[in-house]
Amino acid sequence: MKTVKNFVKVRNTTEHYRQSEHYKKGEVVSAYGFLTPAMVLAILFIVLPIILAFTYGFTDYYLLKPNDKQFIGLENFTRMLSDEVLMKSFMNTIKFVVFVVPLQLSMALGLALIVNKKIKGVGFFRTAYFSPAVLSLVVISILWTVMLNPTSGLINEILANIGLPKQPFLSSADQAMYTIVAISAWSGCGYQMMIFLAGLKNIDNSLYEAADIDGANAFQKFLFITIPSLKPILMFLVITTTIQAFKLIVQPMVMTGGGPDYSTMTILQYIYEYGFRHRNIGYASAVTLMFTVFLVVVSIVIKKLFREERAA
Amino acid sequence: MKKLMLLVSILVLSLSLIACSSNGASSNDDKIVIWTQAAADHPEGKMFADRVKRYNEEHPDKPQVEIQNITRAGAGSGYIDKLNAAITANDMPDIFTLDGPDIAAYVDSGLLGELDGYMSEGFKEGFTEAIIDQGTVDGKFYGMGYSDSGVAIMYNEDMINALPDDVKALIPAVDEDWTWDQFVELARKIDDFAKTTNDPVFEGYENAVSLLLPDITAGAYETGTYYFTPLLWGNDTNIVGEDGVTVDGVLNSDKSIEALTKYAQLFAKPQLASASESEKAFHSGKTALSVSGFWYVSELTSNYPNLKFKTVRYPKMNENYNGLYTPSGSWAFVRNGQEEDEERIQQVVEVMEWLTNDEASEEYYHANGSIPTRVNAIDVIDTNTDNPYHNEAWTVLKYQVENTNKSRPVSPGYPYLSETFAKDVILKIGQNKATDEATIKQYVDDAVKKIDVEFDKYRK
Repeated sequence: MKTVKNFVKVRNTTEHYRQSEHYKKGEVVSAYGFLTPAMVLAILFIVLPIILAFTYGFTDYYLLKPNDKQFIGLENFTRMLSDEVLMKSFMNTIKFVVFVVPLQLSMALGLALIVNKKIKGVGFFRTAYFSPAVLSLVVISILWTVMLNPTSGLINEILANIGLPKQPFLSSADQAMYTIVAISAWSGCGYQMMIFLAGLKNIDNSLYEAADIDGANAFQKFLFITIPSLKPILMFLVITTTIQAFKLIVQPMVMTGGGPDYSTMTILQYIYEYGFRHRNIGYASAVTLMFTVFLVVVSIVIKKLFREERAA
Repeated sequence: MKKLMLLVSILVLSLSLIACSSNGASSNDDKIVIWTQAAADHPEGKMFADRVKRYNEEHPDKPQVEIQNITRAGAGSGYIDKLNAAITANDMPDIFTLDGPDIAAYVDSGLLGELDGYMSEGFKEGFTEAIIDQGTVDGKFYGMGYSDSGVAIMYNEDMINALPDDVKALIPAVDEDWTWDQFVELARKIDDFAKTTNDPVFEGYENAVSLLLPDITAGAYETGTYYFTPLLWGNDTNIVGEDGVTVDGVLNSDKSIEALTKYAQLFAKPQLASASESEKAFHSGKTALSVSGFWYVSELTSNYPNLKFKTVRYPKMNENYNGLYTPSGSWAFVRNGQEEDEERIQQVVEVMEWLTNDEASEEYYHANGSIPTRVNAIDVIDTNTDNPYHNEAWTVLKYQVENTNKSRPVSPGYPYLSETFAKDVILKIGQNKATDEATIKQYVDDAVKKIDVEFDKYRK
């Protein structure tokens, strides 16, 4: 009896085990089945093009002669060293990132603090501040180009009416990039504002109450409670905003064409112009490769800083 | 697990092979396929559709023609992107349209087939000289232009009528040549008057001249080259040599610098033109003068009926110059150079002739206001309508088509050449208000350096 019981127990256990394993295998098959379409598309449209782009960087691929590609070694890369427009584009991109990230995040945090107050009508302001984030960047760029027209734009009309001199804005090599920084920060801060707002709502109110008891002023509460509490969110937003900023292309393409005098030409725009307007896929691919390497290095640095921060 | 990964890999590879395979031609053997950048609902698209329909009806025993409209955005992109994809996939149509100056690049890449030897006798000679030049590369004819173009100077009649008589006297007659110096002098006098008068017609006045430079900023670089290369032609120079690849000594020659310095006088203080002028500045009465493309005529008569515009000829840079110097050229039909079947080539060229013959040229003018490319069709341009402004404008444009139009340079690197000239010279002079010869020479020398590096591949 015991043997039969044991046998049944073992059989049931084995059956259960087999069923579990089968169940697990079935789960795995389903998982891969659902993943396959996305994987296929990712391989076809992301992985393969990346590999091809990297290989084209070592060729003289001209778009109109697709069957005539020749391997030219490092010629494209040595050409980059003397390409002044490329250097300018790279520095413009860095300049944009350096200015837009702190500006956009400061604006976002400031707006989040404002709309975090429990006052009547705050919902309207929350929507208003967020609305630029849902507009198309092309639409925003066209609207601002009209408003910033140095001769007849709305902004200059306002400046003239309050006694200030009219500004060239996008028509000046000195002002154009900073103008684009300001517009980009304005259009993007709404999205970060919502994320900061979520973070602010999660801060324990008792911390502020304790600070009040200790006699802390508003600035001290902001510095010693709000900022440390928002650190994880802040780091996340720094990383994502930085990566997004490096991909700047729409605003300069629509508003200035990369001018005046290449002062707003960015790396991505340069790659697009060289690859598709000038049909020099080989050189554009080489620039893409170098930029990708640069972005990987930047990501690693940010990640390391983030890890050190968390360790601390 | 390993089997699953293997299955997935096989699936991916199979899909890749299917995606990459091609039967080598988008055209069916029974059909001749045409690609055009004109939108189907645009007058240009409709006129082609009508023409193709008539061909099919009148030639039922020949391969039928199918036209596909691939709308372009901006300066040809969209359509050009699809064309480039077709080239990469070895899947080009039998006939397609190209902007005239682009023909040389496609010829250089072996993508276009020549038309000599396949055309009817005398057909090529029926085109205007500028159109023949536009479609000719290394002595061979590749592109049949279906529409020409032109640029003239327009002025706001109400503003001019408000000027003192001595300023009005500076305006040439409709059948009179004038020079760039005279044009600038007129602009200067208009500007001086406009800034001191209370005449309401100058209420919205911004600058003396509209040059459409913001188009260059917006990415339509060809506007700058199209409008202002003729200033160099009128000074007996050019932006590139006859070989299509030499810029050093041509673009930065003394004559080129001289012409560009004279152009730059529009930006001497107080500036007469702006690199960031308001949109439709001339149309909305903000400038007195305008360097105007032929399309302004229908735009102004249809959409700005209150604007009284008068037209005079494009100014010559040098009064002693007697050659061709006014802007011209537009899109053309070309054929797939990879077709090897002689019979099919003959059929394709026959269709191209149908699309660009004298009758077609006249039809396109009536349908879309396209300037005829056929010598025998030029007289179809109507200069006796009820609208005197329309009549005057077309009288000037017609004269230029018949007598002074010159095709843009033929160069395999034309897109890069055009963009660099427009952005790094024409627009830069306007944006920086550079008016001295030394600075302009610096801009031009830098542009030449850039172009030389890019053109190296054409010299190998």
